[in-house]
Amino acid sequence: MREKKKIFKILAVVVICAAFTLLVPKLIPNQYMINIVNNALLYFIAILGLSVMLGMGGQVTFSIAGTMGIGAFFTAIFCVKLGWHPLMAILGSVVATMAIALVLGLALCRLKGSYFAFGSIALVHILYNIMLNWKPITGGADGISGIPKLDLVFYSCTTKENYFYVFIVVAVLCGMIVGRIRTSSLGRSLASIRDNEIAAICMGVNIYQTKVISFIIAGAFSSLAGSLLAFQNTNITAELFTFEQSAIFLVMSMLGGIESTIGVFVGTILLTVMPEWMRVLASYYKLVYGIGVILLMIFMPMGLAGLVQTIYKKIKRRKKAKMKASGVGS
Amino acid sequence: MIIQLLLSGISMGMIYALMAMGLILIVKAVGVLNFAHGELFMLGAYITYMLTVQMGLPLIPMLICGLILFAFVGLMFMFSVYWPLRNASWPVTITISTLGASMVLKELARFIWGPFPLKAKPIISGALSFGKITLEYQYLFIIGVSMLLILVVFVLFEKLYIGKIMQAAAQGRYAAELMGIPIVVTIAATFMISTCLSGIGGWLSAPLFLVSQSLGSMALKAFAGIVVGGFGNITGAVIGSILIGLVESYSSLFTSVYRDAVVFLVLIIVLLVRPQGLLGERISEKA
Repeated sequence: MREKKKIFKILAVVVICAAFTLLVPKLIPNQYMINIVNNALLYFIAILGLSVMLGMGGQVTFSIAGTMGIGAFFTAIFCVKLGWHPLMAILGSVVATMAIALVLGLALCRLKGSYFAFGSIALVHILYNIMLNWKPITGGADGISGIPKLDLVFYSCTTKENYFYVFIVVAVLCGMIVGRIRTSSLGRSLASIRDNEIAAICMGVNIYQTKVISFIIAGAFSSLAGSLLAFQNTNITAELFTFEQSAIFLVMSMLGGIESTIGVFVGTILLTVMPEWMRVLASYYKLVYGIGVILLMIFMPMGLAGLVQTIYKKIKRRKKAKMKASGVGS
Repeated sequence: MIIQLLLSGISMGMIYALMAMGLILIVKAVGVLNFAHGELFMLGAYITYMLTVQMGLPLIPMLICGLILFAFVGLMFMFSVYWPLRNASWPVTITISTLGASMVLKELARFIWGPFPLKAKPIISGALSFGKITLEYQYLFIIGVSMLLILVVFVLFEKLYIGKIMQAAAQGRYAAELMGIPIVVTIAATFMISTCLSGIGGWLSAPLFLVSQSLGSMALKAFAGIVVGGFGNITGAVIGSILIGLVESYSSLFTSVYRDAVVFLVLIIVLLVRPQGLLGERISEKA
């Protein structure tokens, strides 16, 4: 029964992914919208890193936009200034960001709870300041432009649709990796830290090490997203990686439900595409958005995934009650 | 130069301290990090701008009207952002809800007062000068008013009965309720005092800067001050904020573009060397 359920679940995910992949470029006629969907996919990859830290580990972090920026700028520097191949640049920037995240993580993860959140806020501001002002390396306020198009040896991206296909493959792979992490011993250690740190220590979980590892994983995902963003936009500036962006990432992850990969996906897509649907609201959009965030937290704190789960549980309970009432259940 | 920087540093630090105290009061009372605090500060600047420039009220009536408005904003804020979520299973939800509130407040200010920065009237102009050194009165005024307010908060929370009630409500809500303390009233009062403090901070700092939506980002310095000083500790928050103000103002001696980076670097260094803050005590966690 359980195996069957699992297979069914995997099948459902595969079908949805396939449908999404095949239908979206056909349904969206203009390049502009595809660009937005592409951005949403990149944000999804970055937020997967956040979901490892926040959803599994319970650590509120604002550093995601910062590490995303590190990845993007490394890629830009490798490609434009050193002339590396795009594939090499992506790999190089992910490795480099992981190394930086290791150092930052070793420092930041000594902090607990709210202190960690503060530390990550400070970190994202420092990184933004450096990106904005270190002219010889990051190009200052103009950023770096002239990043070549993504070229994956056997598949080179020329149109936005090409990017879309690459991004969705990467996004699905990353989603699978995170799903795997969730059921691994690392995921369980993180969950135990989230639920009760002292109990986790008593169970022999090395809290510090686990947090650092999750910070590095978050850094890796966000840096991958940053590199791909650099290739898609062909120019990057520090303005893409602000504290506000990190706050938006947090909201995106909470909208869908931080504990489920599919929830994160839905939340990201919704929040990235929504501004386009809400063009009628024009300048009222941000106001409505802010009110929406508050209402969301009040009425469904665990996001859409949480809502689905409660409804599912309710239906199940009702079914059971019905069965008992008719005497079948006994 | 050095003395002028000292003066501006301390006065900025005092403004951060006003914000930091408001933040700490809310953290102590309900355990929530208020990310909309900077926007409440900004709203304070806008409201006083409205009262002084647009309506032309003199100082004393302006202060009275301003305080009433601040308290009202605080009440509204508490009942819309915090109260519906007080029993939430996950504390992160309240944090996110205050993030949403910060956006709402920013947009409201943009609708009411327009997107362009406004120039506020100086509260007090002129300067003292000794030879080469000039000390502007407005900095001295900021320091004076802030010191007074800090003193008031101290007396209120450490010496008076009402402060004890608030502390009791913060320490154990259930036990306090059993003792007959009206929780809603105390929490509402805390929010009102907190918004009044940051609103006055906004009023004081409006002449130094332009009144714009970006004033909200000042709260980050107050956050930094709180952490440097030691979390959950009003004295620490005040000292930490003044330190942050001084670091910020003296960093302009050797860098102009990296000022924010220097401030936050100091924050991270303090966090690494003394995670509990300068004045914080290391309290062991309860299981």
